[in-house]
Amino acid sequence: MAGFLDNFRWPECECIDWSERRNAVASVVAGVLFFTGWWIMIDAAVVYPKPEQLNHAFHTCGVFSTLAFFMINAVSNAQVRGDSYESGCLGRTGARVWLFIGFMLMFGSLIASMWILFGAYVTQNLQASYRAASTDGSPLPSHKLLQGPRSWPPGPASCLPSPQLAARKKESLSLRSHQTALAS
Amino acid sequence: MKWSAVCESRSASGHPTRFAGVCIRERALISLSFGGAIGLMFLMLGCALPIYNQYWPLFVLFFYILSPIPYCIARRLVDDTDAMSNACKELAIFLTTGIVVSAFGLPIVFARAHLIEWGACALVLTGNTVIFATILGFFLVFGSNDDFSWQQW
Repeated sequence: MAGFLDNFRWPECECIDWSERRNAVASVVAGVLFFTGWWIMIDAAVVYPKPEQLNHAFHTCGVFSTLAFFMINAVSNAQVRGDSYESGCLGRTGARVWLFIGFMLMFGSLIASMWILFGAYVTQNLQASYRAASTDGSPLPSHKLLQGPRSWPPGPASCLPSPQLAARKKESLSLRSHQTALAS
Repeated sequence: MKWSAVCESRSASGHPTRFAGVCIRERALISLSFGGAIGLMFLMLGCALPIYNQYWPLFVLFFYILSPIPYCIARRLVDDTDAMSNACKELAIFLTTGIVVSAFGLPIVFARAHLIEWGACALVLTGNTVIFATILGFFLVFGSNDDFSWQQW
């Protein structure tokens, strides 16, 4: 079980010599991914122009990712090892610090984008439905559930643990069903 | 200008120079020009048809003009023997890919913003494909000389 993939080999493709073209193919793939990402951000900014729907500060993730991308690509492996005959303006340690800062910016912006996804969009939909349901018996308009983030950073109400949230929701739903039963 | 004399002088590089009695390069030039005309026709159809009548897609012409520039600069700037030349060429390929993706993304963003119809967007994307295939064809056919000079035009 431990090494059952040891003898696996990719099927041999003799038609094209990939070793010469590896860098060009990687550049094309990188270009496609990078610019597709930026165009998705531009598209989101165009389709959702209001700050309540897409806070303009969210673009900083993309900006810092781009900056980190160019920082990391500016340093070659030889400079980090100290092998190259020209040491550059920072030397070996400087190259390592530069690379470190570049990676920190990249991972930081990745984590920030995940945080924005979950904090500003996924949980805010749940909070919006909770707030609308907990007003006294008023019907829940369906368009409110589809709104984007109401406020960012999220307020203290979003820190409720989920059992309490579920209990309050149940309570308000039963109250409303009781009211509709009385009205009919 | 005698086409046959131009053809015979290039056979030293080992490439076949004639196809059905006409030079390959001149045939390629004619067919690539035709391809370019077809691509621009699609672009203009996407703008000028009476049901669309929006000239926003003409902004992709900016990307068409910009797309060969990084690669041309990289080839002029560095020799093939240097280690730095690969990095420069790869940066040029990266930027060229970015320009191509932008030329596809711009009509889609216009259509999503309801500036143009989706039908016009589809026509412009078809024109994009043809034009970029033409530009790629130019580089493959005319670009792989050892001495890249302007005299071959």
